[in-house]
Amino acid sequence: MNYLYLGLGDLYLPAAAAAIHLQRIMPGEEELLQLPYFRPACPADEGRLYLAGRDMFGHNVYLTFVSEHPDIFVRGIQSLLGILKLPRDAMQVIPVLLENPRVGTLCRLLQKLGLPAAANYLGLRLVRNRKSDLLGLAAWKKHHGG
Amino acid sequence: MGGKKIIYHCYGGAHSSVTAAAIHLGVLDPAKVPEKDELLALSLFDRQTRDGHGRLHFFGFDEWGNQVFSVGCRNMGMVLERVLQETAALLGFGDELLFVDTLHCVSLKMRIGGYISRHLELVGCGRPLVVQGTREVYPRLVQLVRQVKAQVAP
Repeated sequence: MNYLYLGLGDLYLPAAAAAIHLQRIMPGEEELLQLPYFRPACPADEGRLYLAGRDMFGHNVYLTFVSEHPDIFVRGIQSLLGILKLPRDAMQVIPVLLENPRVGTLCRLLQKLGLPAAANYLGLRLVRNRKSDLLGLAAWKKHHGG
Repeated sequence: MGGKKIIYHCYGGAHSSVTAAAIHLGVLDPAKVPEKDELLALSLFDRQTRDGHGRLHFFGFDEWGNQVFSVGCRNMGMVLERVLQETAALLGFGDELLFVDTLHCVSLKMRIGGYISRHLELVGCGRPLVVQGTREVYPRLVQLVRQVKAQVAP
């Protein structure tokens, strides 16, 4: 079984969601800033599956982002699993979507302006605002009685 | 080389990708531009809805045992291809998928007709235009399918 946290226009939320999945608690801000993919997304990242780690049950946890139409990707992956004759949880896609995708654009802009700290601050705010949602995803709880 | 999954993709998965899949499987004669009824007899031709975008639609097996699919990706064809290729590779099926973009064969007439029929749901106005457009670009689609078949032939 694999998990894929799918962001919309940003990597901050999927990176945080993946970290919560792996650590089973909400990481602190310093810990979040240390995560390799807790940063503004760039076009080259779009659709790339990054391995965030392996959870305590041995499942791989990936993250990625797309700039538009996340529903297409959810259906696409589920459909792919079907044609490969794999169970649906072979790659479980968990959308972690920005309420306003323009925030992702703003983070990229700040990064381009040479203000990565400001972009990361915005990323931390995003995570803080969505903390309960992110903890509620709790994908690991649905399996193995975790 | 049989056993590949050939996935024709376009914006809406309703016209060019469906037609290309039908040419690939021999449902449509590559030597003759199909009549309107032949196009409309294809499952999904001018019938795909937004809810079906992203879903891989199976059309059949070609003469070498490859599976042929179509999919509508809106404007995310390259990204969807990347995501599905990477997912397949992670799951141990990295060499099986062949994505073929049919969007470059599409004419302005098809785009306008497709938009009117699928997006605005004015089928009576859009369908004649998209059928006419598909018939006009048919040789381009035949050429594309020939290239794909040359690539997958054993």
